[in-house]
Amino acid sequence: MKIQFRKFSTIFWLATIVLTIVLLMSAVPGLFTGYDPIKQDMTALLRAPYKEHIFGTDNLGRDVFSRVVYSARLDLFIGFFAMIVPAVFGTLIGTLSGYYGGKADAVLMRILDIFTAFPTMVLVIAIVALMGSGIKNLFWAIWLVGWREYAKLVRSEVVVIKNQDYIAAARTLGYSDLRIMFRHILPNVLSTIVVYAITDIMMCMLMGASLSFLGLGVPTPTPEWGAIIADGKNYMMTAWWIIAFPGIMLAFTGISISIVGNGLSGALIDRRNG
Amino acid sequence: MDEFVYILKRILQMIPVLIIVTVLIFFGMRMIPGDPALLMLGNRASDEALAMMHAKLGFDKPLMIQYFLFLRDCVLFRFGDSITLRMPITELFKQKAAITISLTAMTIIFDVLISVPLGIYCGMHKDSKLDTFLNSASLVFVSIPEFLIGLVLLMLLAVRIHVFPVGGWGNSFGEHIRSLILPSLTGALMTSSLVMRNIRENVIKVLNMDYVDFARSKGLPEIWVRMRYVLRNVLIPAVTLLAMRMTAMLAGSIVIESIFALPGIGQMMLNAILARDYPLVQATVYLFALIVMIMNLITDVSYSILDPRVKL
Amino acid sequence: MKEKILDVRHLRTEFLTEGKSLTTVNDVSFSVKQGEIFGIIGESGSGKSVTCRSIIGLLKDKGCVTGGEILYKGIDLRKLKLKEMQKIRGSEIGMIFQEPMTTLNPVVTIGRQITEAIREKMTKREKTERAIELMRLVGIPSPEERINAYAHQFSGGMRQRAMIAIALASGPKLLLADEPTTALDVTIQYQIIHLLKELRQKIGMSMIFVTHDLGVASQLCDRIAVMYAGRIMEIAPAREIFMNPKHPYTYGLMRAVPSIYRKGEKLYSIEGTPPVPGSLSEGCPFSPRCDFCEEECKRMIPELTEESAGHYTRCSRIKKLGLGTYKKVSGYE
Repeated sequence: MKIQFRKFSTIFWLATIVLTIVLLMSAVPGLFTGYDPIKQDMTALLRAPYKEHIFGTDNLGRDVFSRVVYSARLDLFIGFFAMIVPAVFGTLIGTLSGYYGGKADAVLMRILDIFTAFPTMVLVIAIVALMGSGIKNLFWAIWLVGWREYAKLVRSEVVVIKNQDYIAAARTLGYSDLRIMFRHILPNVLSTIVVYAITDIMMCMLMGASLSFLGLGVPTPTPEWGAIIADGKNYMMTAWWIIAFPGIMLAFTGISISIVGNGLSGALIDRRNG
Repeated sequence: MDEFVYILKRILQMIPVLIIVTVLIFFGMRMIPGDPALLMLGNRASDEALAMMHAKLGFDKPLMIQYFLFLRDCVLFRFGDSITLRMPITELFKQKAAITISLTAMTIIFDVLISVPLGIYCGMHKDSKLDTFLNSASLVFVSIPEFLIGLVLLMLLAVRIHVFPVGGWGNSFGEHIRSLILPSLTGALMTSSLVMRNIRENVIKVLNMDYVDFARSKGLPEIWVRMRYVLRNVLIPAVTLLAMRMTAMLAGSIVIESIFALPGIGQMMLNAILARDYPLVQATVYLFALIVMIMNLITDVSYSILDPRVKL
Repeated sequence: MKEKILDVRHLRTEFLTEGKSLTTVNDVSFSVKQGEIFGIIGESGSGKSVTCRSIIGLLKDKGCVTGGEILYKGIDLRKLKLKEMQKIRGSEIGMIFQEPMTTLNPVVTIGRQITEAIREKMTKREKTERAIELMRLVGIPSPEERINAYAHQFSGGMRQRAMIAIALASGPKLLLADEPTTALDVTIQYQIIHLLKELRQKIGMSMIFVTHDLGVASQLCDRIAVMYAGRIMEIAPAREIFMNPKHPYTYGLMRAVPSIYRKGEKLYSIEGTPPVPGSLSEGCPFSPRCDFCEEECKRMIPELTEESAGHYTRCSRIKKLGLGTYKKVSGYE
């Protein structure tokens, strides 16, 4: 997937810079801050931003800036890890089902029909509700729900591609089904998957943050943007900084992923059509 | 008559799905390691209290019997008492439903008020300044979580300038409406961004269709062309999208009701999850499944009424 | 001689794209007489559809008529306000399109699409009867039942007939037909051509028939204009165009049609591709592809001049060339 980078707009590059900073934060948070994100300091409670704590401190005297920085790792991890497992699994199921067709395919389609009727977030919350809160169940919930889209997306493309002449050609050459699927069909579906997956990272990240905000995801005191905002919500009237900064980070990261995703999908689709 | 048969068929098809849902709800909860009764009561519970809770949850009976009892309750819509709220769950639903339904209704009103005029404007004035601006704005609203939008609105309009109450439901009709404005706006911003984009794309598509020019070539007044040819063809897909988003509002109501302290079903469910009130959680999840399926049925039927090309 | 119903003089239409203006129709002049079927033929992109849309004032996107006059019964349509133009549309000038599927509103019944176009004051019932009558006129079987049907319930040919019925609803005196047969099967094409001919006889309607299909044009048209790169290259009575083409482009077109009279001969094809609008340099637009091109052709565009009675050609070398008669072209009776 070769992409011409010159074509992208300024806003795309700004978004890329934001994402790079967030990635850097998650890789080496120590580079940005010297404070421990969970260390409480009873002498500096709810302090507005000032020289030593540039984002202020929260109700337990923790440095908001370092909490925001250390959150990046977990939030990106949730976004990526919650996306990748169902993406791989769904792609496999979709490929097999679309390639072989038959009864198993019909059954799968039926299951997908039933479950796509349920909005993702409703299902995720339902699963968390039944299985209990916590980060492990959060992943399980998103995994159990997330593969549907990939399976559907991939299957619909595979069904088209498998009837193309070059697949017939590959068959006459005696290639195995596996080789045809992975060498000849999947590469053609890849750009569709990538385009969807980028937005999916954002969706997963937002879902993780939302569940943590509700108290159903990451447990305290682990730094995570949604969870920090949930903690700060009670002090919203007096200490705006506790929720403002993680909110800005979350928003910027989400918007940046969207912009980068839009730009890349535009480039990938252009390439396919051109 | 065809419609009636179709609806009946769809309702019959719902039955196996609902049975699967009950199985998932029932056994999903039992898959959690540990004793739910112990989780509910805490580690220091006495043996008597534990035994009583077991009896209350029906754990003293064999698993299959427990399931069939649960299934019976689901069918009869008789869910027993909530453990934390100590009230019949059906009664709780009745009390709380009004708030969640009004929240959803008002959100839909905002959705339509925002997305329809803006979507049509942007479609007709493609690449104009407002169009470019709204396109970026919709990208923003789709990329940030609902709770953040809610908090920002709350900070700006309730905490800073006291235009709206910070939360709660109020006591009079006027107060109810006032306390619903910010929550429904929160719910509406993301959905209307999606619907607005959909309408915009469709306006652009429809305006390029020959039937619009053909209508003009008949000498029809422009307003007639816009209403009957453009608007009608644009709004049909938008209605479906909006209806689909309405089911997504179930999840939204949990977030929004908790931010704005609206005592609706969403908030009740969140509290039930956090307090491990399993009977209430199970009943609410079942209720959600039921609502989603009924909403889908209504969407499909109304779509077929609106669009003559879609056959039931 | 019959009266002119439409007289187009030096029509020029431009499109604004990305700040540049592209002239897609340039210096187009022709006239249509009462009861005449006037054909415009040309390759796609030659500006024939744009000419049609310019007349009725329904240009796509950023198109704009920037020069010339469009005289309908002596009134310049360009000077009319939208309200006045709307009165002309439908009751004076009607239009039918190429793709019947996208030309009919998918969510409104055919009957309503006909009745809403009827301009005369009459009751709903009378309108419905009129609609049924029109549907019968265009040959839609059992119109009483079909009146409440939607476009998707019609076959391609039936849709085209329904479209014609709608266009006829308020009785236009001039019908602009923008490739109405192109999207149809050959047999259906023939039926529609037959129908249009019949309509002319029954109602005495004039027609501008745009097509790129020479066979169709030969069967239907009285006079034909050949367009190339936004300009008219040749106008002549249909028989003349087919039997005695004078412009090298027309000559090439005729030779490119397979004929049973020229068995064994290699089929001629015009070299090169039609120019992209905006890429034209000065000189005859056809000169890069012309077999008879000389230095002079590359310098200036020749005028459209009358070579013989009613036969106009835009070629400076016509006298010397003497392309002469081209015999027995297919399809022309």
